[in-house]
Amino acid sequence: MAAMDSLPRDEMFEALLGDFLDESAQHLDRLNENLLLVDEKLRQNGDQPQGFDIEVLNEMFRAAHSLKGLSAMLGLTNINQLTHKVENVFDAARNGQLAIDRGVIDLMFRAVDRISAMVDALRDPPDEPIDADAEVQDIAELLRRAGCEKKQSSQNDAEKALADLQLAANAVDQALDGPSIATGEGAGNPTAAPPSRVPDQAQTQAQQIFAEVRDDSDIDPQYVAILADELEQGIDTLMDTLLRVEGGGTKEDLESLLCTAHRIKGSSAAVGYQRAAKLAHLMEDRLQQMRESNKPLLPEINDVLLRCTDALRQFAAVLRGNATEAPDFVDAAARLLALDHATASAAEPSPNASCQEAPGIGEDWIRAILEASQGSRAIAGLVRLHANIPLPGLKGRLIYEKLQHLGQVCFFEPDPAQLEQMERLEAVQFGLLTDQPLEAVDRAVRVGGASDVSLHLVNDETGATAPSPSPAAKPSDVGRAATVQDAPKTNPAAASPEEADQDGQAISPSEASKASTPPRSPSSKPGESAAATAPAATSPGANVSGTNASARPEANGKGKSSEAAKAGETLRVDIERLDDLMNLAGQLVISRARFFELGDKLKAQAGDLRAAQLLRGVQETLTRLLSHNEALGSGLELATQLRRMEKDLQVLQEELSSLTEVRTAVNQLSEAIHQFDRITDDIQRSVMQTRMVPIGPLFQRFKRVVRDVTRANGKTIQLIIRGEKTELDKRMIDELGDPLIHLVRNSADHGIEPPEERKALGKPMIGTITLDAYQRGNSIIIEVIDDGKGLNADRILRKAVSRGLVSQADAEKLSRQEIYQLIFLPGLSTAEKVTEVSGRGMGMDIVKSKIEDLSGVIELDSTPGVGTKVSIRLPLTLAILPSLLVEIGDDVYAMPIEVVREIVCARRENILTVHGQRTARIRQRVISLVELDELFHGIGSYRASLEDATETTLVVLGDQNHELGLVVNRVIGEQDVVIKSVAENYHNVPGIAGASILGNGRVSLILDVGALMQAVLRRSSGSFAT
Amino acid sequence: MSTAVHEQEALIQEHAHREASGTMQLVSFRLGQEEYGVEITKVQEIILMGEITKVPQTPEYIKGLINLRSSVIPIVDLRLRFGLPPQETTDETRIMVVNVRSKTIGIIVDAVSEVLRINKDQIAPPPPTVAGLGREYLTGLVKLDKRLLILLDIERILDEQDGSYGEF
Repeated sequence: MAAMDSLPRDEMFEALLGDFLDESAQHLDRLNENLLLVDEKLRQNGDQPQGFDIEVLNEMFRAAHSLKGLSAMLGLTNINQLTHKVENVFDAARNGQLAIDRGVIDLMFRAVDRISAMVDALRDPPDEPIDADAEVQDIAELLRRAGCEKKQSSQNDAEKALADLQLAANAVDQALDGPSIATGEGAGNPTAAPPSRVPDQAQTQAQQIFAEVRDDSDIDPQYVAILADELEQGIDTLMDTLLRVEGGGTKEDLESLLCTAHRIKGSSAAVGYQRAAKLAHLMEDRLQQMRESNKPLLPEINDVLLRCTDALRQFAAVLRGNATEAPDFVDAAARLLALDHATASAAEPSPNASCQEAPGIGEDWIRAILEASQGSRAIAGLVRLHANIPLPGLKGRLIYEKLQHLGQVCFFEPDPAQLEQMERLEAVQFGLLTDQPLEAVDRAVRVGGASDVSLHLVNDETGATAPSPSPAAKPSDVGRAATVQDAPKTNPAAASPEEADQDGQAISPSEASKASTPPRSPSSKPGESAAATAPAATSPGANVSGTNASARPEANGKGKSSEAAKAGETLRVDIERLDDLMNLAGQLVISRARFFELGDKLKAQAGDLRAAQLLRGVQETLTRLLSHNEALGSGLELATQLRRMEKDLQVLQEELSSLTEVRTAVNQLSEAIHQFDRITDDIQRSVMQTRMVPIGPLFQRFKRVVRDVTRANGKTIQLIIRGEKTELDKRMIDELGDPLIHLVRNSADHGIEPPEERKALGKPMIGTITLDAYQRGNSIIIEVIDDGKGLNADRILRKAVSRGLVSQADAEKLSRQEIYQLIFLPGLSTAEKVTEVSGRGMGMDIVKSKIEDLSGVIELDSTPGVGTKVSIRLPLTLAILPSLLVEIGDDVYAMPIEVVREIVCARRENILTVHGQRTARIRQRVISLVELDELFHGIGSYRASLEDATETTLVVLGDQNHELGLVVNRVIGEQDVVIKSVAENYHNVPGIAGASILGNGRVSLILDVGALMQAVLRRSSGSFAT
Repeated sequence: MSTAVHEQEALIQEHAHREASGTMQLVSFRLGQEEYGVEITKVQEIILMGEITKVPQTPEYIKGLINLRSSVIPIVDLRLRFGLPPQETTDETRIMVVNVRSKTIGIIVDAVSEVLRINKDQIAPPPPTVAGLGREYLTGLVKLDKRLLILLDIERILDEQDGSYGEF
């Protein structure tokens, strides 16, 4: 159990795993959320385990159940086991068998944590394997105490159920035909039975087997395609091996076939495609025999196996929606079974004809009952149970006991003694010697969870049985009316016992029907829940007859194909690919800038129409001059010259007119560029949107964090979550988890005071932590606010000095705000006692660097006694930033357009020096001026040359409280720039938010305006202090 | 001191191990009067000097950033890094783009000479007497016929820069 689940980690598995990881996260979140609800309720009730919303319990049950199913599909034993246990607990709870108290909740939290850890381990395998033995045992203990113990489950649940069914069938076979027919050792010598001719007996047996196996798949459409993938992969392997070994093959080949068949069986069964699973199971049995008997793969067997493989392939095609014709599992199975029969005794009694026509219930065991009944009136029955009902074994037991009240049970399969141990039970078969009418038996065996009841009167005199096939769906009045009318009585089974009891429908025990024609049954019932019963609704007809058996998967196939189409609507994409796409979109933005630049240049160069007009004027003058000249009859020489000029001018004009065309083309180009611009915008936005996810689920996680902290430290804290719908880049959400957890823990652990203290202070007893997220311009602001005691500036300062982070001299100069910022320094933890919760994890310095890695800014504000507020400002996207480009010194800088308040020109006489600080007076406002090189150290000049200018261009940055005029040489304009991380190949540079590539290919720096503002504030406060 | 030598020997061993044949390929370049060698596996490409955008708040030897096919990489002036006097860009000046610790950086060198294959036994530990200039970046000396090649540990070229800048 402690061993890690080992599975072939092929591509298919990876794909499934990816889905599993996504899906399981949702289920785990749901579990956590609902647990918190219950926990809260419990607290309100003063730990009285009552008043829970049943829907909450149901939802948790469903989440656990889904997780169980998913993990089974992937063969993740550990997870499957624990989720199964969790499922049991919620099941017991919703059925009122288990009282939920704090202990249970804590255990469930533990289990959910453990499951999360195991799921995480799949993503990122840890050094130490994670085992859940403790949780599994504790839950088992819990369930045992609550009296709803269950046997341990295994990932082979589905298989076991199938095996049980098979066992049941075999048992009957044996009873009738002797051991030779059993899938035993002696059966491995198929010498006869050419595959083209299928013996009737095998055919019948196959029909029976498949009549009893129904697809009960509520598989999520998105898995259909995945299952189809997996199946096809398995089928390919089978096919390859079979073709290769044709009539021979090594033991390894056999084992490979066996493995593959087993895998197909497992994956089909796990998602409820029991029919495909059954066929695979039969194949597996066959192969298993061969392996045990060390027989080679004879060509006959090979043929049959290939036929089965074909049927499976057809099934996969139907799943994919590529085919509508249902696979003929029955035929394939019959051929497979024929191999057995061929080896079996030829002296088998040929089956009773009437029995043959009453499929739906295996004829053989009915005959067994017949024999057991020894002439008395007997009722043979088959009760199918819903696939996932809790405690199916107990249900079986219940049926058994009810039957005992009605008469003598002469046959019961599976063995009643073992029933209670059974985790899975699909159906029970029984024979009852009784005088009771069928209706009474029907009522009795319709226990909760029974999906379908078929009863047959075994009549000694005729030897015929009266099949009483039942549609599995909920009856309606309409449906019942039809039932009564139709001669072959249909027996609509109730999904729940209450309804069945209320209805108490009659079963018309007519022997007239030999069921030679399948009874019509109401197949659509109003008011039923379509998803749950859809497969069942299509099945009753098929359930009764072998000929129709093949029609059922068809119907299913059709249903699935439409689902498969739906499955295509969402697509899991590797985030790397989206990153690449984003990068490409970014490059498109760069090219666009280049196009704009070129377009503008061309436009400016293309000139206007004046040249053409002028030319025309000159030409006219020339013509006039010429005619004048001729009239005067003066010098021939001059005339020749003038003519030549005229000709030249004509050429010029032609060229000019082609230039006009160029100009038109330039205009068209600029049109095209605008088009390109729009498309680029759209692409950029679309790509961005594909990556955006709401922050809600991330925030929800903190409910748990707060809960844990409060449990540990005895405080009462409410968590208020706002702005859940705010969307952020997926990658940012992923990266934000850890820093936020740290912040929330800090608030809960150190910020919020204990209740008594709060009371003494006149604060509300319940502390409040608020998580908020909202968009402002092109930033997302995330805030963690608490109403606790605030930061202790003195203590921070003391600590910083004692650790040598700040010198004593500097310490005295620091303002309160500046002291608070010290907590972002490495090696400073403000907590006086390191608690279990906040002691581990990252320090504030790591929080800060994490945020900065995301090109974000973290700010902290605290008021003693009132609370602390941490704001994280993140760019909307990590890639593209609408910016203002300016020229300062020789360089071009970009700054986020959202921080630019205005751009003004200050006349020289309006620039004054106040307290050594240059300021500009603009429209009654006084704005401090700043030049980059006052702030920046390092090589080069970042000063705009404005000494002799009469006007200074200022870009006013900041907010109302802090305005700052950045002196620039020139404003270039607004442009979307692609943010390139400087840290990617270097490291973060203070004051620089990143770099971008301009249209001309040069790198420009993006100013970190927030940091600049802070630097200015620090500087000015410093200068005032001295 | 001897520990350092041992470490370097270990490093050389490791280098040698990577080359099954006991040989390794170096890109050699010139810087001032010296010739240096860098493992060829570290060198991504060699490009011409282009326009470099200077970055404030960085040490002097960080010349700035360039756009290398849509990714932004920092450029280190190796002369300044090693404390050599600066030199004007010549026709031979090149930027050697190297991959170190998952980062891509460019280093300005006076000239790139050649690619050569050496035998590991041609590598000698640097004499402990070599003091100062870039001592910590040397992993060994390669003795060639008539010249001496300094084997450079390019991995550490971006190290130890804090302190000189960082705060406004």
